[in-house]
Amino acid sequence: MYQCGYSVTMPPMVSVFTARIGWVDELTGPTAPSSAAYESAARAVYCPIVLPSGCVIRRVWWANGDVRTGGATIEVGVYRDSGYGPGSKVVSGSAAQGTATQVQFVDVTDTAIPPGLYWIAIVASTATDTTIMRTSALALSNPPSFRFAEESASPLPATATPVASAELNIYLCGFATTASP
Amino acid sequence: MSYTRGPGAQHWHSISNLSDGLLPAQSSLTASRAWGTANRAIYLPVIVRSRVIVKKLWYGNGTTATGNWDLGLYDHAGVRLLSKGSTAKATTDGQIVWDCTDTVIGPGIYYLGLASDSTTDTFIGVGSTAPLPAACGVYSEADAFPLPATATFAVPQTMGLYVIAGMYLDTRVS
Repeated sequence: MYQCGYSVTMPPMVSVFTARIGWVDELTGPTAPSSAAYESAARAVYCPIVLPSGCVIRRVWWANGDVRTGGATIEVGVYRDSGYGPGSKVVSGSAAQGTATQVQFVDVTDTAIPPGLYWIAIVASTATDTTIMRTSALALSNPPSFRFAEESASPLPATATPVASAELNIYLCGFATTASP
Repeated sequence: MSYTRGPGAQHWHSISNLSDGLLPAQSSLTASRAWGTANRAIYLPVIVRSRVIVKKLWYGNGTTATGNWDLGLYDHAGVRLLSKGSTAKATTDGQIVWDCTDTVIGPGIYYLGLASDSTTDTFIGVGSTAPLPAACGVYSEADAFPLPATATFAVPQTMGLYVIAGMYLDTRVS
């Protein structure tokens, strides 16, 4: 047998929390995610992921918190990198917030993407009575190292206009490479 | 003869859903966690980077042992490659190791299947809450004890349990 390098398999669920793909794995987030209010209505949050191989995005998803009576529309998308920052949108999907403390999936057009640096985006149309599972980075972390933000970004724009963010929140959301379950 | 070139091709001799799974490194092991739902199977993703021989399967045993367990290995499509079969949980604590039939598997994503017919038997796991396991690619199946020949993967939306299982490998595949 002859091996050169190693094979990489993309997992079914990809997020900022996914080991060896997302930055939470680099100990920026010291605690497991928990339910918390979304930080600001219509503020998009962009966090980087590194895909070691190509894959097909079939669904986007997020983890609802324990309060979702605000009826917010949640949108999650994937953006290409543009010189260390999110650039053009690859794909996104949205829906009214559903069952509490569950992962909510939205089908999107199957979209193949090559390996590389991408940005996972999430936005909630309202922050009132809207909770999403999230963790917070270490207080001494430098937010631009793991997230950017954009105001008035619901729905998610075709091209991001990211700004440095002082917040430390990292949301549990991403995409699925499988159509089901 | 085995010939490996380039860094990162080989695994450690033992990999688990913690070392090679999808849960972020922040996760810490915790004391025994109750299985919670009798006859439920949990399928834990593990990414195998190169061709290996699976020599043994193992899981982290908890402090309570009254029922039976089953341990197995599935491919990405849910086809069972190995399973121990129903086995009395006779001991507590430590690592339970099953010397399975040597089985060659190629690179890809696999699922370590663990099932129990007890609600109260405990296993070593991570201090997670729902729906984190679901978000990390863990699947489950109700009424799946002993482990079925073909798994019917389901997203465990309300399951917080993330137990630890793994396999001993021989990376010298000839």
